[in-house]
Formats: sequence, C-alpha cells, structure tokens
Amino acid sequence: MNNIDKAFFYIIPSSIPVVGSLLLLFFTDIAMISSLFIFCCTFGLSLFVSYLLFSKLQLAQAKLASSYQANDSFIQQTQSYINALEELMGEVLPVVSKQIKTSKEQVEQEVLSLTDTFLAITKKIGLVLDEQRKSDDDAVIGTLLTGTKTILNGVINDLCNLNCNEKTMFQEVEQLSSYTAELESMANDVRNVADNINLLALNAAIEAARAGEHGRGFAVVADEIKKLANSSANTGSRMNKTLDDINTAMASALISSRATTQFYSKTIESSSEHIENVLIDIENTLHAFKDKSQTLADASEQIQGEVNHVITALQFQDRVTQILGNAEHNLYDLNELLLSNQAVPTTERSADLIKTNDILEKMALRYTVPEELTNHQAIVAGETKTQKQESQGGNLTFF
Amino acid sequence: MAKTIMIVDDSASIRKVVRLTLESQGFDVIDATDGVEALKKLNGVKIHLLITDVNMPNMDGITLVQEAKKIPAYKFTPMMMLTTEAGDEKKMQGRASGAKAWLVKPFQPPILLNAVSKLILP
Repeated sequence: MNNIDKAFFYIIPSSIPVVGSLLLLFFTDIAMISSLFIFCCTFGLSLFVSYLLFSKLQLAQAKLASSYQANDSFIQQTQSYINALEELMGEVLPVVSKQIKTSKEQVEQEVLSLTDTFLAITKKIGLVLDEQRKSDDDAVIGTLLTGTKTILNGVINDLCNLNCNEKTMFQEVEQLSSYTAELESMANDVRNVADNINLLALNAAIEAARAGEHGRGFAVVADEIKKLANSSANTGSRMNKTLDDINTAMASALISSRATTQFYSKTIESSSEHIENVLIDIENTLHAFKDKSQTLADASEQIQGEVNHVITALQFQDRVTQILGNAEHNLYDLNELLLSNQAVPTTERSADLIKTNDILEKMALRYTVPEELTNHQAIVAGETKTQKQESQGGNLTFF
Repeated sequence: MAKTIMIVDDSASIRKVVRLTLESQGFDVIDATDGVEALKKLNGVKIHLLITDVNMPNMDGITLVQEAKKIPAYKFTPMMMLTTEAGDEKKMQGRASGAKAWLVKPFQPPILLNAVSKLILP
C-alpha cells in the first residue's frame, strides 16, 4: 500500500468528525467550545479506529500476499510436474511402442523359422512312415509266404513223385524176376521134351534098321528128329544160361535200384526238413517284422498326436502378435493425444481434453483376442488378479 | 483329383500350419495374406473351400467373404472363418456374410479337418 492510499485511509475517516462538528456548529445552538470538544473527541476516536483498521488491513494484506506467493509457487510446481510428465510420456511411449514392435517382429521371425524347421521334420517323418507302411503291408507278406510255401512244397512233391516212380520200377523189376523162374522152368521143360524126343528118335532108328530096306526112309526121318531134339536141347540150355545172366543182371539192378531209392528217400527227407526249417525261419522273421511294424505304427500314431499338439502350440505367435499389435496401437493413440494436447495453450487446457472413458472404450473395441478383453475389464473393475479365462481355441460353430 | 483349399491369413505361421495340416490329407493349398490378395487370386481358379481370418490389413475376412460371394464362380463355394475372435456379435456378422462355419484359433488339426470334411462338397 503506497503513501497516497495510506493518506486517504486516514483522511477519509478523519473528515467525518470535521464535517459533523461543522454541521453541529452551523445548524444547532451548540456552543463553539462544545463543538470543538466533540470535534476533538470524534477526531481522536476516528484516528484511533483508522489506525486499528489500517493495522488489521496491513496484516490481512501481508497474509494475502504470502498466500498468493504460495499459490503461485504451487501452480508453477504443478505446471512443471505436468510438463515433466508430458515430456516423460512423450519420450517413453514411442520407446515402449518401438520395443513392442521389435518384440512382435522377433517373435514372428523366430516362430516362422521354428515352423519351417518343424514342417521339414514332419515331412521327413511322414516320408519314413509312408515307406514303412508300404513295406509292411500284411497282404504282401501273406502272399509272399504262401507263394514261397507253395513253390517249396511243389519241389518236395516232385522229389517224392520221382522217388515213387523209382519204387514202382523197383517193384516191376522184382516182379520180372518172378517171371524168369517160370521161364527157367519152361526152358527145363524144353530140354526134357528134347531128351524124350531124342530117346524116341533113337528107338525109331532101331526100329527102322530092323525093318531093313523098307525102314530106310523112316531111318532118315528118325535121324532128322534126333537132330531137332539135339537142337531143342541146346536151345533149352541157352535159355537157361540166358536166364541166369538175366537173373544176375536183375539182381544187380535191384541192389543198385534199392540203394538209389534209399538215397533218394533220405535226400528227400533231409530236404523236406531243411525246407520246413527255412519256412519256419521265414515265418518267424515275418512275425518279428510284423511286431516291429506294429511298434512303428504305434509310434507313428503317437508322433501324429504330438505333431497336432505342436501345430496348436505354434499358433501362440498369432495371438501374441495380435495382443502386442493392439498394445502398440493403444500406446500410439495415447502419444497422439499427448501431442495434440501439448499443442493447446496452457491456459486453455482442461480435464475435458482427456476423456478416460472414451479412451478405454476405444481400446476395448480394438481387442481381437478374448484374453485382452478379460484383462482390460478386470483392471478397469479394479481387480488385482485377473481370472484365468478358459481358452475358446478350437471352438467350432457351423451356421 | 485333389481338392483345392484357399487359406487367407496375415500371419505367416498360421498359413504355414494350415497348409501343413491340409496337405498332409492330400489337399492342394493356395494362400493369401489378406482379402485384397485373396480376391486377386480368385481369378476363376477352382477352389473347393475358402478359409479366412477375420482381422487382416487392407480387407478383413468378413468383407472378403461378401465380395467373393458376389463373383458367380464362387457363389456356392463353402467358406469358413478361422479367427481368434469368439464374440457372438462377430460370429453373427460372419454368418450374415455367407460363411458356413466359425473356428476359433488356436485350432487343433483334427477339428479343422473335421470342419473341412463336412464343408467341402464331394
């Protein structure tokens, strides 16, 4: 308060007793001395009251000035805090957005590489299993086994038939030997008949000699008959000799044939055993092969289950990318809001510039993954722990 | 002759795993990264099923289905959505666009193949 204010502050209240005393003096019958006394009293009182009021006013003014100063300081502090906060947000939001973008890109890149590797492995496993399926076809194995058995049994049958033929021939040769005995008897009969005829011819020659001239012709006949008898006897002897030779040859053939048949029998028996063993070995091997195939088929089924699991798990990248992408967009929007508010003069800024509910609603509209909305709603509702939401992945609806 | 299926998704890993799942069952697969690329590739080529994501840049899956249904060659081609979205409102939009099924990601291969076998025309 300057001196002029101060003068006015004293003069205006002091002027009241002056004006009052003058009015009393001029418009009433009061004595000059009384008027002067009243003037002095009221003037003194006015000065005192003015002093008191002035002191109080000065005190109040000082307090007000101090309060203004404090308020100015608070406003300045708040403004500087807001500026610092805006500066911080302006610096941090783009950095966080950039980090999110980089994470998103890296996750995508790595998952793609992982997916490629996994696809290559799956294709190779598929090829191996396909080859396996082709080779372990039960029908093929069965046909192979049956075919092999048929061929080998055919070989055994052929060998058996051969041996049977040998045996038949052997029996026929044996039967022939019984005929030679009969032939020998017949040869002996021939010799006996020849001997008798020879005896008869001798008697006829004796009787022809006794008949003399008349028996000469008959003697010639008897002589011829004798020659025939000798010839027959020789034939019988030769037959006997020939039959002996035949018997000897047949006995030798029979011995040889018997030995051959026995050898064949043993060989066939041994071959049958070998073939049977080979077939058993093939069958066992095939069974082992089938067991192995079954193990591989079981493993193949397990691998398929695990491949399906990995295919499902690999899709996390899509969800993570969407969540990070939306977070990045939301941060970008906040940064845009900050920049547009910074352009507004400080004196015109108000809370209306930041519509929190609108911002939150806009964020919620952007969400594409159910978990995003659940998290958002839980945090907006002030829940510290978000309830784990059941994944709806795999949920299929037909329209 | 192998049936042809088109998969449209902006996520390369999803395109790859869908391709693997379908090719393992003998299907031929054509892929596209968004609706615009898909429509470019739908130039008369015969496809037996279209599988598409919903949220994609340039053109979303619901618009793609609507646009593809306008092309005479694909009017009767079955189409299904494969997306992380599970909200009923979005599903209704999909249904209205002409899609025949809605499968929520992440999918399990047998479920995808089941849907494919039911949707694909003989």
